[in-house]
Amino acid sequence: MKAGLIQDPMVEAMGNFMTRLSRRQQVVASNIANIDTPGYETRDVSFHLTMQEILSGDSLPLKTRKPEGGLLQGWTPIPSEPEVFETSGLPMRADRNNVDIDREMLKLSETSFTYAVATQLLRGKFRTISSAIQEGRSG
Amino acid sequence: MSLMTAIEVSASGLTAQRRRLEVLISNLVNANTTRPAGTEPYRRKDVVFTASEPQGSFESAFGEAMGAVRGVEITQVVADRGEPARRYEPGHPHADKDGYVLYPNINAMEEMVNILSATRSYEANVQATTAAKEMAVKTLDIAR
Repeated sequence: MKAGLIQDPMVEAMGNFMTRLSRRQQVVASNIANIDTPGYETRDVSFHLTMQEILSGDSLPLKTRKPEGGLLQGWTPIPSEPEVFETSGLPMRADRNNVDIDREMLKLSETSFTYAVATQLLRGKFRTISSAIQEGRSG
Repeated sequence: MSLMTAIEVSASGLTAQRRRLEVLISNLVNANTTRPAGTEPYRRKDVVFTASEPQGSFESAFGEAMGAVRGVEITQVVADRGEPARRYEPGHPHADKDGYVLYPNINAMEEMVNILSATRSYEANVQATTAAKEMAVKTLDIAR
């Protein structure tokens, strides 16, 4: 990875992360819109796995793995589209819909909050660069 | 832009729930509607929701993999086939020759519960829209 101001791995990783978060927001919006649609199954974006990879440090740029994969196997390079899967194990209603509104609302605020954290981190990064450009006179 | 897709999907949910509310309210107001003897009485109506491709989004126009993200639309408004209630009211202008009037098969309690459910679902979609909007605003904050 080239080390530069803009090709910074952290910036790139955060970009990927935010793309994935906004994809997740789409999927959650889709789940909420279909709360009363018979036969609709809850979907989710593999997201916590991605967070774990970020924390594990050496996996930049972001990678993903299949949710059913083992702990240390099944790692694949990041696809352009984050993986979307149908959540299993949720209790299904009589109309074969398994959207749990509380769960979706929780995911909604969780995604929104995490996105805010990511933007704050990026903002800090660009502030640092800005500070360097202005020789530390003002942020 | 992907957050716009999220907002579009929520908007389809808002539209669908609002239309459902309209149908439910028309049931409620017609709970005591009668029609002349020999004609079909008013029947309780309900909507059929179906998951749909989000409409008019940039991504869908380019055939990008939108498979997992679904909006919602009302594909049908169906009439309940339940038996109408027969009430003995010989003085009623809509009574048949035996003095019975057909009243719609509408239970006001049931309609109220459905209205509550539609309202809550509508609110959930509003929340989803707000969350997507906040995320878009946060993105602008990066450059500030």
